[in-house]
Amino acid sequence: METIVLALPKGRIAQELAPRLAAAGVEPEAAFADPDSRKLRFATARADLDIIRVRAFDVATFVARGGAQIGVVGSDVIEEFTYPGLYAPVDLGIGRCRLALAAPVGTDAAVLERASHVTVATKYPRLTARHFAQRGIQAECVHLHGAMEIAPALGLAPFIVDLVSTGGTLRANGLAEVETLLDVSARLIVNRAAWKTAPGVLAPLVDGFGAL
Amino acid sequence: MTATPPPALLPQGFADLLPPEAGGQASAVAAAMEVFARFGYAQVKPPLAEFEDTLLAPGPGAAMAAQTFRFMDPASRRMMALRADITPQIARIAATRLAGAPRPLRLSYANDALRVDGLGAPRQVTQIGCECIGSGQIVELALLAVLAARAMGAGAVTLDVTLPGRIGTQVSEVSNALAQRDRARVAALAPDLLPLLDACGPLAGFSDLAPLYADLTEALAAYDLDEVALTVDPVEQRGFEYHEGLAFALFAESGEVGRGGRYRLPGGEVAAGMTLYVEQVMAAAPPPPPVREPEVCGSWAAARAAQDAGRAAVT
Repeated sequence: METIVLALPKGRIAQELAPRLAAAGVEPEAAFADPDSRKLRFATARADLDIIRVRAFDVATFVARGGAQIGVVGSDVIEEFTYPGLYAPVDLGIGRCRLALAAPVGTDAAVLERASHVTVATKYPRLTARHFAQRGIQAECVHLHGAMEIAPALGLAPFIVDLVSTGGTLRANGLAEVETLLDVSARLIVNRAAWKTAPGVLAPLVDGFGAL
Repeated sequence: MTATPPPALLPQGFADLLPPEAGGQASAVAAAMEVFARFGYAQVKPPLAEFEDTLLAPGPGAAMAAQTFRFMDPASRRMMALRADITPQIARIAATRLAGAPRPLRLSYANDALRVDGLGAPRQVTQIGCECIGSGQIVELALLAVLAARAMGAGAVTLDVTLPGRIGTQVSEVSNALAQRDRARVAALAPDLLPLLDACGPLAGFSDLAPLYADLTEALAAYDLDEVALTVDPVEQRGFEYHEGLAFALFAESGEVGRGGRYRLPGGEVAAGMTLYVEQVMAAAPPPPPVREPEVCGSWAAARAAQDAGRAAVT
């Protein structure tokens, strides 16, 4: 393997990640910190290590398919895709939040006890379907990519499954949490084949991220 | 009203293999089968479909149940299944039609299998492999896997030894943590398993398997394959559901290209086998030579002369 590619997510986790990158000895080029940069791929102080910045959901896909060998992504994304070719050796303990089922304030959650079918608006159709299947309920998932919170008021679905950290967005949209599906934190993920064929290169990096 | 689908569109996961790839794959498979023959493996050709209850019998077959296409046999009105893996069929042949054949019984195969697998992954896969029935030793099978992959053109490979059954196959928080190689969570949930997790790495340093390491290095050295990396992963369970005790996966730069290990036939007889995923091996090999355009000769005699000289020719 000539160059290791590290896939990092855009957005929320990015700021919290900076000290962990430093701890692992990863020094990105200046453009990486520049919000106006149009670059997607960045060099680092190490000639054999590049960084790509992609959407959080795509980090798992890049690493699972071998486009990147190592990456950082929330456990929500890992659970949504359940790619067989991924290891998640380090819980970075950052980006903490939870994946929750929510509904308009005043919804009687007891309807779920008797339901055989439920409609849910979510960015996580597979995880949601799995969660409800275990309770004996078919979930019809309305797959949205954002702004799930307005779906109940507009009649798309009586429930949503989405990430919640403070609950502020839910409250602002008249929603309340019903239950937690998953506690989420950012994980270091590694491509299984890369781990097997280049352990000498990847293991020190993984240890570096885990050391803090 | 439904629109007519474009005639080139195939069902998800199926593909036409065109020149020169189709020819490249055929010659690679022939080269691998030649390796198997040199070790005394005789080729068998099981059928494409069987009755569901025999194909998915306990043992190697049952593990593939979720990946198997099924349909009704209009003649017998019994459920039939298209094979998703060849190993169960070899196991059945060894336990029934060839039950009386002397052991160890060495059989090889090169066939296509069909998998339900969604999400755009290939559903028709070509498998080649060997099964040695009546002997559970895996050094010969691991050596065959490496030799065949190399004969097919795969570059650098890593042989990763696994210990199926060493930790329970029960799905639990611990098994999930192990599957993800999450050291901190394993330390919190089952600290007694940490030594196994930490043993993942070079096979040379894993004292439990020192004799296997010695046997493998000797076998590989005899075939000038000293550069094959040998690793061990005592916590890997996924995909080794029917294996017992000792198994292995073969990796190339393109990813996993094959696996093998020890298992039992439905009747309890011990066996060891290995399978290479031909499409994966080819992804690790250099591209096949371009198609040879035939030269047009003035006569069949001239064409034959050109052909004898190793060129493609017609009149």
